[in-house]
Amino acid sequence: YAVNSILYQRGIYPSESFSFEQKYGLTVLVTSDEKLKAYLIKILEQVKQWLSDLVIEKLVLVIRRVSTQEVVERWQFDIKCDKSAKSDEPMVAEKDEKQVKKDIADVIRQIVASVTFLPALDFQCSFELLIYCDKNTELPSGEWADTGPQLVSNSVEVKLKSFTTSIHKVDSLVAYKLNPNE
Amino acid sequence: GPPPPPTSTMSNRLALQQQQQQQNRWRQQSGTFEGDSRSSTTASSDFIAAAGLPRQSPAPSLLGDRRQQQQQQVESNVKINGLQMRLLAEESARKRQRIEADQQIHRLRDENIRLQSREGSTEERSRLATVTAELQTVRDEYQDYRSKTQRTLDDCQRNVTRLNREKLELEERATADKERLALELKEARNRVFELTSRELRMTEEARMQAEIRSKELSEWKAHLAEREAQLEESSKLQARVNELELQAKRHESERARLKSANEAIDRYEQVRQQNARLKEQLAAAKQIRDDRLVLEEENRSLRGRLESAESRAATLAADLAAAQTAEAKQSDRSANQSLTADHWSSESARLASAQRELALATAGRAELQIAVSAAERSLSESAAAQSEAEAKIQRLETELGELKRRLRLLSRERDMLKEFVASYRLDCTLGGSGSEQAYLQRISNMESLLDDYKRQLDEALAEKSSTASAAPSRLSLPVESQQQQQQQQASSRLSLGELASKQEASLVIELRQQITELHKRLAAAEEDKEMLAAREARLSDLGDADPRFTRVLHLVQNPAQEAEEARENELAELRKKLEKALTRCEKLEEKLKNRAAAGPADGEAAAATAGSSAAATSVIGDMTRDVSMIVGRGDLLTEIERLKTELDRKDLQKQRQREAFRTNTEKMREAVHRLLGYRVQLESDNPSERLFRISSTYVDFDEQDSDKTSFLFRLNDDNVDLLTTDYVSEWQSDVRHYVQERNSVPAFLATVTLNYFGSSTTLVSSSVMGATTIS
Repeated sequence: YAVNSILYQRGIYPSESFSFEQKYGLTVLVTSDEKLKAYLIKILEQVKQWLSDLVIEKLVLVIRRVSTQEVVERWQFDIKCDKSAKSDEPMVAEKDEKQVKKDIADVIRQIVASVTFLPALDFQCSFELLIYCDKNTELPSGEWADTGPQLVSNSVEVKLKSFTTSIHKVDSLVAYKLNPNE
Repeated sequence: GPPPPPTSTMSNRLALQQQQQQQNRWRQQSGTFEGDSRSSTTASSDFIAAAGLPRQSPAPSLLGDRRQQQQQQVESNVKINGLQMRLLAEESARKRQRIEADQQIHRLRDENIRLQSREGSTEERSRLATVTAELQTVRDEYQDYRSKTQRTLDDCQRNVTRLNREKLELEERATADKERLALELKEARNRVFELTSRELRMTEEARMQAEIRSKELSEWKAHLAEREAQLEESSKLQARVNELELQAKRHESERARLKSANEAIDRYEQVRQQNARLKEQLAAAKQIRDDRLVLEEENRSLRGRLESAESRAATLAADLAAAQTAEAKQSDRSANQSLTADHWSSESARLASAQRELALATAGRAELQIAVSAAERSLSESAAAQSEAEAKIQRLETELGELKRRLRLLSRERDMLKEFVASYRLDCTLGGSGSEQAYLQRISNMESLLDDYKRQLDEALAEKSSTASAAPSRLSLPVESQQQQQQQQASSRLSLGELASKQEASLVIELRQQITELHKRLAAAEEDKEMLAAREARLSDLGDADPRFTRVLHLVQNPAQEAEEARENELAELRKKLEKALTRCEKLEEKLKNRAAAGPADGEAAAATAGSSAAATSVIGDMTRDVSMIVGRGDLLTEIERLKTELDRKDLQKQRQREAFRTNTEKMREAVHRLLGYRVQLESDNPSERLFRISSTYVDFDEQDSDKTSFLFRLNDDNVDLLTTDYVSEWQSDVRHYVQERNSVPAFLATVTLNYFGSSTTLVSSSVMGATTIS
């Protein structure tokens, strides 16, 4: 939902390709583009697997200018896993689910509010999702490949709220170019 | 509306039922309408209450109040719109009802009129009266209802106008507030943004600084630990340095002692020389003593002679007195002294000589006394010098023995200390980064020690020079020369020492310079390290991944990749279009030039005379067509070139295939010839004829392929025909037997082969009968 919100708020995809849904007590936007949906589902399923394996470190949404392939914005979600929780036995959540959902809703609200200070992207952009994981993680299939971190040069960083479950802690950060249109 | 009057019995009954139903319906609608009107009134009142927005909305100053006001305004607008819609709907419903009621009234009136016109029966009249009464009641009710609805409608209209007015006022106020709030919001947003960004930046900076500080702290802790370790090491080194310093001091003292020993040795040499000189002096003194003894002897002898001379002089004096008395007596006896004159002359000559001898003896005695006193003096001096020299000699001899012993010990210690000094110097030159300060300190201590030694040496030399000048004069002349020699040796030794100390000083200076340079480089390296560590920390926060621990994965087929590919394709297409357009432009320009060269005026004149753009357009159209043809021609030319190359390739391929086919065909023919014994050849160039000439291998090669030695066959789809030739006539019986009767050409051909084989074998065997070999 955060990814969808970012794609909607930053105008990466036209607004008419999004539909409203109720989640976490908020009205969130979800894409109805089938190709994009398929891409997100594929990635997030693997992320889910790696989350349960506790090997994932970061999930990064990179926004690039199509004409120059320059990275203009970077939404980074640092995921810290409690390695001691890795076991075959199912764990009982120590944190209240309501509180977790509330925290998630706060993060999404903050993403939505970030449009107030993020610069407008008046050019064609595309996005990509990067996953940072442990060095020894095997590639799930030939569709996956190694890549670089794709950092933003001369960036300004804004840290967003974080939320925690009993096992994972997610810190959010957005790095952007102050004048991307130059 | 009110029910219509009945027309006939059944129809009237039906009509009455319909009227009743309509009345009920009308009552229900009126009731609902009343209810609706009441509800609309309550709704309007609710709206008024709900939309009882404050006449003067509070002056919001923050985003929250603005949002609330906006929400309230939106809600009020929604409610107003809803109510308006409802009002409109109700109004339209009322209108419809009114219209229906009017229509019913009209229908009833018509009915009434019709009924009145049909007045005949009392029942109908009574019914009509009842209907009329009902109609009247309905009309009254309708009028009441209408008035009521009109009142409510008026109320609603008033409410609506009031609400609209209020709405306008609110909107105006809202727009003004909106503008003001927008400005405030913008300002607040900017402030918030600034504050947020500043706060975030500050927090980020603070966090980074805290991280940097923590890292610095950890580094400092590590550094401190290192320093503590270094301190321990330096303390150990300091202890070692102290030991070394002590050793160096000892060494220096030993060196000084050695120096002093050397000096003592030199002094010993000098003393020995002095001793030799003293011995010489002693010998001289002894000689002088001997001379003195001799002189004393001479003195004694002279004394004795002097005594004798004195006695003689006394006797002579007595003689002289006697002589004088005698002379006095003589005077009296002068007369008779002629015999004694000679005696007295001899006696006076003897007296004169005695006096002369006495004077000479006296003078000799004086000289002897002087010589004796001088000799005594020199003797005493030489005795003192001798005693002094002896004492000195004894002292020096004891010192010499002691110095020899010490020299032996010192030489051993010197060798040992040389090794220490060599190792010490090695430590000084190598030096570690952690003990630079200790080494610097050591070097400074050594320098101070060196200065002290120099000062002491100068003092010693000065003292020596002063003691050398205080020595005895006569005997010190050679001593002075010796001292001068000693000074020269000491100065030369001092110069050597100075040279050595200068070398050490230069080494120390060089070491110090190296140490300061290393220190600077270390500081610069530490700064670079801190900067790189901070940069690394920042990059890791920003998302840089350390490939030693982390890998960054992505799907190869992702939206960014697809967008890039689409853009590349678009760019490629655009480039192609651009190239086409450019070629088209070039062709157009060429065409224009050609036209300009050929007859630019004609086309333009034609266009001018035509006086319309159609001719110019046609000219341009012709040019465009020509250019299209040229461009297309260009495409065609390229196509032609491509086809030509393709054709050449195909020709080559075909030629190669032909060669291969020919080769294979030759091979096949050769194989058939060898295996089956017949050479098969295509008789005509037209392969559709399928005419083959077959020659046996047993026929001579030169005679093959002729009608007399070969068969001709035509291959049909289902059979093989043997054509008649001269050669066939030779094999008529076999042809009849195998081909015609048994329809087997292979058997016929085999028979021919066997016949040839048999005949050739018979011929060979008959020709070589003598050899009895059959080929």
